[in-house]
Parts: sequence; C-alpha cells; structure tokens
Amino acid sequence: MIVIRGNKIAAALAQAGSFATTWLFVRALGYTDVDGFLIAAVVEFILTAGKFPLLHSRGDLLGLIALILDTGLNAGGLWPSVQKFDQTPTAQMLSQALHLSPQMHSVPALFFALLFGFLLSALPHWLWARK
Amino acid sequence: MDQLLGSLDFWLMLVTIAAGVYYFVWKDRAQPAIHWLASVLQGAVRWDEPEPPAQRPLTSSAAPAATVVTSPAPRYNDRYNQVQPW
Repeated sequence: MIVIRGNKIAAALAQAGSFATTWLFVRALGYTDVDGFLIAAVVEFILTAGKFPLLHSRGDLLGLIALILDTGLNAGGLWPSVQKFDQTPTAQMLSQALHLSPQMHSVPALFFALLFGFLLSALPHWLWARK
Repeated sequence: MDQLLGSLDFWLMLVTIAAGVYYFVWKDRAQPAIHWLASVLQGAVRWDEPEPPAQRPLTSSAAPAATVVTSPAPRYNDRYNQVQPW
C-alpha cells in the first residue's frame, strides 16, 4: 500500500523553493543555462548536507555556516517579492483597517526576507522529521 | 518617529519579534498555550485521529463471554491534554 505523507511532500516543496532561490543567485552570476542549474544543484546539495546535523542532531560550526549561507541565498531570492508586500490584499486590508501606511521600508523588508529565508532553509528538515 | 509608528511594516516586525522572544524566552509558558489551542481545534475538527477498530461479533460458542472494556482514544496525544477537561 502506498502511503502519501503530507509532511514529506511539503518538505520536498520547501526544498524545491530553497533550490529555486539558489538557482536565481547562480543565474545572476551569469550562469543562465544548464550549467547554472547544475551548479545550483551542487551548491544546494552541499548546503543541505552541511546544515543537516545542526537541524537534526548536533550543532557544529559547519552546520551554522551552511545555515547562514542558505538563509542569505534564500533571502536574496525572496527580496524582490518581500518589497512588494505593500501591494498585497493582506497589506491593504491591515493598513486600511488600522489606519497605517502600507509602504514597505528597507529595514523591515530586510528583516522579513531574512526570516522567511531562514524558514525556507530550515523547514524542509523540520517538515521531513515531523511525525 | 511618527512616520515609524504609522507604518504597517514596523508593527508587523515588532509583533513578529515579540512573538519570537516570548516563545523562546518563556517557552514553558508558550508550549501549554499552543497545545491547549491545538486541543480545542482538534476537538472541533478531529481530522488526524484514527478510527478505533470495529469489534467483530464472537462466532465461536466456546469463547467466553468476557466484557471488553475499551477506553476512548485520546483526542490529543500529549501530556498537556491530561489536564484538559475535554
């Protein structure tokens, strides 16, 4: 019997998202063809292997470095989208209801890009291990 | 300062930081609250709880007519649920 586990699928999708941001980073360096895809896959595999012990069993310096690097790559990929948060219906709703300015400033945008970048880096591991 | 207090992104950032600090500093307080919320939600929507196995009637005449007492399955399988009345 085939058992489909939602957490595993969600973990795979989150990992795909993390890979996509890494690929965007590599493409911005000029590797826009298949070579960029392969370089991004290798980088993502190394970073995933590096942060695996930190998120599962023991904390070590290598895992911390890998997590910080992956968070930075993810945050960079999310940066253009985070800056457009003020155009979303959610931001419009909150700003109109609370009489606040919806404009997204640079420091909060950086904070949320790093936060979501970290979550995108850690969520595949957390979701995969979730019962 | 007024511009800062009047912007949505500042308040969202502040609430996120406050929630993170509350969770990590007062984790022993935050965890029961989260589990209590989960208990309430799962009491209304029990989507991940397996159904108890159906009892088949005894067919053998030699089988003793024992009274089977089964306890209801716990609604939420953790230690915090022990103190909840539901």
